[in-house]
Amino acid sequence: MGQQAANTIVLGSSYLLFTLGLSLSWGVLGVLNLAHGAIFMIGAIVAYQVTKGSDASLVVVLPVAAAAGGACAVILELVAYRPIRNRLRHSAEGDLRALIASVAAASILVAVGDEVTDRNPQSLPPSLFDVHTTTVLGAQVTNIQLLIVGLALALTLALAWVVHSTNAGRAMRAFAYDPATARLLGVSPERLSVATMFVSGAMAAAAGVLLAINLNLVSAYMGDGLLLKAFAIIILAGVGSIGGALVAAFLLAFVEIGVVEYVSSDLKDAVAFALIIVLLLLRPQGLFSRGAWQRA
Amino acid sequence: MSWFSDNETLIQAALTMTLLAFSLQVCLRAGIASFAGVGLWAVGGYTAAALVQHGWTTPLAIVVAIGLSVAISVALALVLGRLHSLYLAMATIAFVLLLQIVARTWDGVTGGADGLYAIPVTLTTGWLIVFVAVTAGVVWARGRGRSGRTSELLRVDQALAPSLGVDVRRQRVAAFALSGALGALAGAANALLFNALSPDQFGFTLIVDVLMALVIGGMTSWAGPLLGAVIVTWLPTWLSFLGNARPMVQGAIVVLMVVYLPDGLVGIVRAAARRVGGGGGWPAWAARRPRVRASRVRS
Repeated sequence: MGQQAANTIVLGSSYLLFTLGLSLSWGVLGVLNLAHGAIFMIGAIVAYQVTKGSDASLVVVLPVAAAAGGACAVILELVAYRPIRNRLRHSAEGDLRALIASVAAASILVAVGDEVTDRNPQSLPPSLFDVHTTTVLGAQVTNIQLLIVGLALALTLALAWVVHSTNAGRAMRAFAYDPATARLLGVSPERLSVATMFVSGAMAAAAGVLLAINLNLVSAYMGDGLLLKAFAIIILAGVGSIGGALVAAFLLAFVEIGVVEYVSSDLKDAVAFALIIVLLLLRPQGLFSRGAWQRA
Repeated sequence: MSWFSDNETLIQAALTMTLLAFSLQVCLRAGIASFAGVGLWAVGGYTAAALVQHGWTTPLAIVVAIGLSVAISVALALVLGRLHSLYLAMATIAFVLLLQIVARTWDGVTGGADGLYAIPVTLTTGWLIVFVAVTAGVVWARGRGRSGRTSELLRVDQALAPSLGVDVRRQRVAAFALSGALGALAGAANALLFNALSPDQFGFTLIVDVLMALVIGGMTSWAGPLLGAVIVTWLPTWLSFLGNARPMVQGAIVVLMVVYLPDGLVGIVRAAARRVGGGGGWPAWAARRPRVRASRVRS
């Protein structure tokens, strides 16, 4: 029982780490970045490439990977999302075009990942991070899992603080609520969108490094499965709601582990998809969203 | 004729892809961001394959596959009735992936992860060409006159549609049903031409391929999906000189096209035709573009 609780917390933290950045870019800029999973994967790829030629430790590799992920997201914003927004004829059409562009961009990154990993799953060397198991309150956990839980909670708190209590966060919320008015109030959409995408991409890539160490796996396709789970979490939470994402990530992990334990491990992934469809029907604005002012 | 026989498999692949592209186009063109057609491709494929394996005749199997898919599509349209744009897109992607899990786990009917194989090959390229021609005709007819204007109106401004007497709900159900029927036809054709069907053939990668065909060809006419599907099918051959860089170049082409040429190759031809012939020149089908005249849209 204690072990299941520990598994739930670790899985929920992994989901949370992946979801925060996706929720941020969607909440602030209104783009659903389907390349988020690929940027997550790029984080792990960078860690793999850097540690292949050196015995750099996580303290060095994590910031490098995060910067690379942030850069990918910024390039995507500058090359695709911004031109689409600027040439917009109707907003619904723009959403779909941004969605297709992000899928295509993801396929470029996946091709790069395939190239770097020689089309085979690879693993990271122990010099990057020495994984060992400890016992916490009777449950077996590894030190990387503790790091994932710690970082997920720390980043959630940090993001919540930035969004709610700093000028940058106020600018984000103003932009999310009404881009035109935010511009009148002196918010530069160019700078804000670049900064938001950088933070979103950096968080994805950092999550990629940590989860790759935890799973001992680097593969071009490691982000695919997480994308729809993150979508389920965001739908459950409400777009842009950080506290909601925290609750929803752990809720999804709890249900999934329950399904694996008591029903069938085949159906683990079906939980998220079924959840998406049911939730969109019953409460499309999310469980925790109260109104647009709360977004971002 | 030898080129034809050398490339018959690619031709069949391009034409089945065209049918599926038509399926998605029907919804996307009316501003409905639904990818459910890819899911019904699987429903149609598995249904037709299983029925033919059980000794049913091909036409009957295809009709039953389409009927089942239309029923599912109508149910889906009613259930997902409130959703728009990104939410609808993601809900339908979830629907497709859910079907993929069903296909992987329901061993008795779908053959599980291995899929169905040794499906009797009961269709020919000739039949496939007939399917594509008829479907292209339907899409062409839908893009003209009142139904074309209604589609365009729904895409441009769904809030305005009811005040012009368009029953949005009915239009959505109709679009879903037609999209489901075409998706099932594409799936059934695929299963009965290529003799094997497995869960890995659909899912997210198939959605990406079809979107690529639609983006490259363009969504605003019947010719776009055909052109796009042919290009997407042959692109790996044409770009094979790029070696390992091919997938990256392919992705970059799609990104650039979706940003800078949203109407695809048909859009380019249309713009060129308009410049050369002032709208009436060659080719006439390309120069004509359905335009909304609000006063003439009535349900």
